[in-house]
Amino acid sequence: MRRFPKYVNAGRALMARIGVFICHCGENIGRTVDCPAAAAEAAKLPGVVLSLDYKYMCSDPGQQMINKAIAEKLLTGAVVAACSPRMHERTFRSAAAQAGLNPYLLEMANVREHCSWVHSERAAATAKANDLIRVMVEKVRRNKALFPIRVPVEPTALVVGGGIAGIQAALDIAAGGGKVVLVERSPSIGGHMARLSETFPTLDCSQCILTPRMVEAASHPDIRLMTYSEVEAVEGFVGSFEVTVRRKARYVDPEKCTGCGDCFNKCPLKKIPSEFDAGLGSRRAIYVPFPQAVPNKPVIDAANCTMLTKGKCGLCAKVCARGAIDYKDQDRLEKVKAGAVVLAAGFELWDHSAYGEYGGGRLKDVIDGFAFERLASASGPTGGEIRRPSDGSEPKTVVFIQCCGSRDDKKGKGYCSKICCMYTAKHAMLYRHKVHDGRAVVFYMDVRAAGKGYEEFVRRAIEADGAEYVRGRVSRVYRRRDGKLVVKGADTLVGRPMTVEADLVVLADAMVPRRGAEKLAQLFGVGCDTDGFYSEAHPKLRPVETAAAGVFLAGACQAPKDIPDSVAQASAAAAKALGLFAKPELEREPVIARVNKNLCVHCRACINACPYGAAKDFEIKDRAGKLLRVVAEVNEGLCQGCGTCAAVCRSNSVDLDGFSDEQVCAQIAALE
Amino acid sequence: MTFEPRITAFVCNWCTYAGADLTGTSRLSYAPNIRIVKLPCTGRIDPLFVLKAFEGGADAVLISGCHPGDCHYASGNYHARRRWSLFRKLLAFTGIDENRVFFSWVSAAEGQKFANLVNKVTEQVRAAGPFGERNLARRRL
Amino acid sequence: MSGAIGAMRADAAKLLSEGAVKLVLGYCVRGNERYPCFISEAAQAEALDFDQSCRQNLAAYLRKPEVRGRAPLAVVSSPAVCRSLLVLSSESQIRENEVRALAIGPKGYGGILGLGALGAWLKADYPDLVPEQALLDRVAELSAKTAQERAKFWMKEFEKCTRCYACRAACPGCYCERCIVEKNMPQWISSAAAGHGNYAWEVIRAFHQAGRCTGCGACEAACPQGLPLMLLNARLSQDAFEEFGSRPGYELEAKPLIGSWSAEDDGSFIR
Repeated sequence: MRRFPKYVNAGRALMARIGVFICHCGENIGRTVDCPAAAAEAAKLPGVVLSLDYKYMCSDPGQQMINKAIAEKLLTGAVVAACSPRMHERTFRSAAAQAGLNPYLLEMANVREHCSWVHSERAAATAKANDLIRVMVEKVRRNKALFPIRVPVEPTALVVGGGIAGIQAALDIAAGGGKVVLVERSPSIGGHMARLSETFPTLDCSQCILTPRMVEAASHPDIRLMTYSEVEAVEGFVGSFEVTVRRKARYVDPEKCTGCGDCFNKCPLKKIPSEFDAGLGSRRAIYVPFPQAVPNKPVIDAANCTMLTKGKCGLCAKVCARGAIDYKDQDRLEKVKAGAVVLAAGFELWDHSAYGEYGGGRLKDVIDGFAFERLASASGPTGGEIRRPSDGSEPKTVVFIQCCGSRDDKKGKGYCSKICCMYTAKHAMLYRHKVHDGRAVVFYMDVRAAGKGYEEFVRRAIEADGAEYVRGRVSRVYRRRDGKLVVKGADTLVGRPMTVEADLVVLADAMVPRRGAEKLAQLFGVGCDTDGFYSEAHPKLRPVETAAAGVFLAGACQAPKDIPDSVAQASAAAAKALGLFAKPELEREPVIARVNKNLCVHCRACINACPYGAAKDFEIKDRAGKLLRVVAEVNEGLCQGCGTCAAVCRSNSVDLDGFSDEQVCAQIAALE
Repeated sequence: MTFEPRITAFVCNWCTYAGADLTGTSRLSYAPNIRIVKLPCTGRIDPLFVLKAFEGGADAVLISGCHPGDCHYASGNYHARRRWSLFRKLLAFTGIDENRVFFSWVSAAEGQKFANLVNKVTEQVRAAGPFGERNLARRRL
Repeated sequence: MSGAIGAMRADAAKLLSEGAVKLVLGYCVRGNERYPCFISEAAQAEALDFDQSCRQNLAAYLRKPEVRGRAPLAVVSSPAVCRSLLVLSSESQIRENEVRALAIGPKGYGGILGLGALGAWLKADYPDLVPEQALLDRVAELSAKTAQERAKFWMKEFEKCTRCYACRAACPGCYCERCIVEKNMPQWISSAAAGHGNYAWEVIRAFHQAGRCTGCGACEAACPQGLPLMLLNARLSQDAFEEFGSRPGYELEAKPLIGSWSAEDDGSFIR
C-alpha cells in the first residue's frame, strides 16, 4: 500500500497559486542579476500570487519565508530562483513538504551557476534570469503532486556463485541479519579457490582457510545452499525479485544420503577426467568433486552413467544401504523470493589453444595454472608431488610463460589479468620448494606486483628461491623426440634469442568470464563490457552496484581479481544488500514513465528501447478473463525514469512523471 | 539593433547540466543567449521538442548529454544519437541546416567545454542570421 | 503475367471455398483502373487482378477493426505490401495465423505465403527493393541545393497541404489509434492547415516512418494536393540504409531502427 502524506492540496485541483522566491545568494546572484526587478517581473506572470526576493533563501529565515507563504497564500506551486537544483533542490523540497506542499510541486530556476556566475552584463543576465524563472513557473503550473514509490523489501539475498566471493557475501549478509539463498551450479561450493594449493603472498594452504568457511556457510541457519542449481528466470525488481532456479537432477536423495562413499567406491566407471583436478586425475560417474566438498553428497553425472544412458549397471543403487539412489530423478524448478541479488559468477581460464605455437592442448606437458595448482596440492592427483602429466617423471626444468592471452588484443585479450604475475611467482616458488635441484624459468612482459606484500613476494621468489626471470616473449614451444620441450624465446634485456630445454611448461592464461555469464547478466538486466565482464554502475563511485537496482557484484565476474580483492568486494556487496534490508520499504524517486493504456497500440517500440526491461507487455482482459488487447506497461519498480520510452512512442502514449510532455512543451513555449 | 540569437538547449540532468553547473562554479563566462531546458536524459528528447522550439522563436537548438558509455541510464544517449543522426538529416533536407541544430557530448567535468560550446554555437548562429520569419517551421506572430 | 493472375485467382478461390480465410483483400478492375476490393465468396475471385498500377497498400486495411474482425484473411501482396506485412508483424500488429499473402510481383506469382515465408520470397526475388532511380535522382538534386533553396521548395509544397490526412490513411505504418497530430494536451502540432503546423506534420509523419517505410508510395499516390512525399521518405530510407543498413520488411521479427542502438553508430556529428 502506498501511504499518502497529507498535503494541503494535490496541486492541479485548484487554480494555480504560485509563489516565486528569488535568492540574492549574498552578492553571488544579486551582483549580476537585478533580483528586485526580477521579482517584480515574476509577479506579473499569470498564476503567480507572490514574488519575493531575499538575501539567502536557503538560510533558516529564507526557508521560513517559503513555509509561511505556502501556508498563508495556499500555494499550489513554488519556484525558487537560486543556485543549481543539484545544490539545494532537496533542501527546498523538504521545506515545502514541511509546510504541507507536495515537494514535487517546487522547482528551482538555476540563476546562479547558469546565469549570474557566467554572465557579467547586468541587463542580459537579468533578462535571462527572467526567462529562466518564467520557464519554471510554466513548468510548475503543470506539475503534479508525486509520491515516492515505496516497495516492500524481502530481506533475503540471492547470491549467485558459490566461490569465495559468493561464500563471503553470504556469510556477511547472514551475519548482518539477512537471509541468504546461495545458488551454485556445480555439485559443491568452494569454486576455484578450493582447487588452489597455497595462496600468495603468505603461502597459507587454500583448503585450510576456505573449507571452514564452506562448512560455516552450509551450517548457518540463515543460509540456504542450492548446489547443482542454476538461475533460470528472473522476475520482479529491487526489493522483491522472484527468481526461478533450476535444481538439476542429482539422482541421489541428499536427505537419505549419509555421504558414506560406498556408491562411488563401487562405480565401475573409473576413467572420467576430473574437472576439479583439471583433467589430471579421474573420477567416477557417481562422484563428489573433491573430498572436502560441501555438501559432501555425491551426484550422478548423467552423461557418463551407463545406467542413465543405456539402462545397464545399477551398482550404486545396490550398494547404497540407505536407498538414496533414484535413477528417475528429474530437474525441478523452484521459485525464490529475494530483495537483493549478489552476482558472483566467477571466471575461467582463457582457452590457450589460440596460441598454437605454445602447444597448449596438443602437448601433454604444456599445462595451465590450475593444472599446476592441482599438481602442487597435497590433496591433488599426485599427492602434492610435481610430476609430468605425460610420463609421471619429476620435471627438472619448468618454464612459466606469463601473459598467455592477456595484454594481447590481437589474438587474446587486451586487458591485464592481474593475478598471473603473483601466482606464477608462487608456482615457481612452490616448485623450487618441492624440487630442490629443479630450474624454474619465468618469461614475463612486466612484473605487476602491486599489492600488500606482493612485490616482496616476487623478490623472494627470485632472490631466495632462485627463480630465473627472463623479460621477453616466447615465440614457440615444441616437443623433441626425447620428450623434452624446447622453448624458444628472447631475452629482451640483453637483446638475444634464448632457448630453454624444459620438462614442463606452465601457461599463465588470461582470466575470462565464465561461460554463460553473459546470459546470467541478461536475466538480471546487468550490462557486460566488451570482454564480457559485468559492468558496474560507475567505475569509481559505484563499483559494487550495477545498472540494475538491487543487483550487486562480487569477485572476478566484474574484472580479474585476486582473493583479497574478491573478498573485499563481496563484503562490500553484502553491505549494500544489508543496507537495502535495513528498512522494511524502499523509497524511490517517483520520476517514472507511465503508459496511457487507452491509446497504446502495442507497437513495442518502448519495450524494445527500455534500458531496464521495465516496459513490458500487458494483457487487458475482461472480467471473464478473455483477452481483449495487449498493450505496453511500465513496471514502476524497474523504471529508472530516463524517458527514452516516451521519446520513441509515436502516438505519445508514454509520458514521464516530472518531465511530462505538457511540462516540457510549456517550458519551450515560455521561451518565446 | 544587432541580432541576438535565441538558443534553446535540451540537456541531460547528469552530464551536461552538471557540466554547465561546473562552468558556473569555475566562473567561466559565456554568451547569455542560451536557455537550458533540463531533462533526465538525452533519450527523453523527442524530435517534437526541437520543432516546438523553432516554432516558438528559437534561432537554434542545442542538444547535449553524456559521452558514449557514460549515460546514467546506460543507453539513453545511444538511443538519442541514432535518433538525431537521421532526424538532423531530415531537418537539413527540409531547410533547417547544421547552423540551426547542434549536438555535443559534455560531461559533468567539462565546464570549459560547455562555455566554449555555447560561445561557438552563438557565434555560428549570429553569423547565420535569424532563423527567419519566413521559414515555414516558425509560427507567424 | 496472365498466368500469374490466373494462379492467384485460383488460390484465392481455393482459400475461400476451403474456409481457410474469410476474406481476400485484392484489386479488381473498374473501367480502366484498378481498385482495392474485398471478396468473401470463391466465385468473386475471378474479378481479382493485379498490375503495376496497384499502388494502394492493402496492408493499411489490416489494422481496421472491421477488416481485422474477419481474420483469417489473405492479402494480394506486391513486394512492397509483403514488406509492410513484415513490418506490421515485427511491431506485433498482425499475427502469423491471421494473415496470409498471395504474393505477386513483376517476377510472377509466389503462391500462398504465410508471414514466416515472406522474407525468403522477398530475398530471393526482390533482394534490394530500393527507391527508383528517378526518385533518388530527384532527392539528390534537391539535396545539392542550398538550405535556403530547400526551405523555399518545401515551403511551397507544404503550404499546399490541406491536412486531409489521406497520406496517413493510405500508409500501413500509420496505425496509431490517436495520431500525434490529434494530441491536444499538449498540442505539439498545430492542426491549422498552414504554416508551422504543416511543416511539423510533414516532417514528423516522415520521421515516424524512419526504418519502417517500405517505399510503397501509397501516401504520395493518395495525396490530393500532389505533395512529393516520397522525396522525404526516400531520403530517410536512403540515410537509414547507408548509416544503419536498415532494410525494413525483410524479417519476421526485427528490432525497430529507432528504439535500438549500437555502440558503433556514427557520432561524428556530435561535437
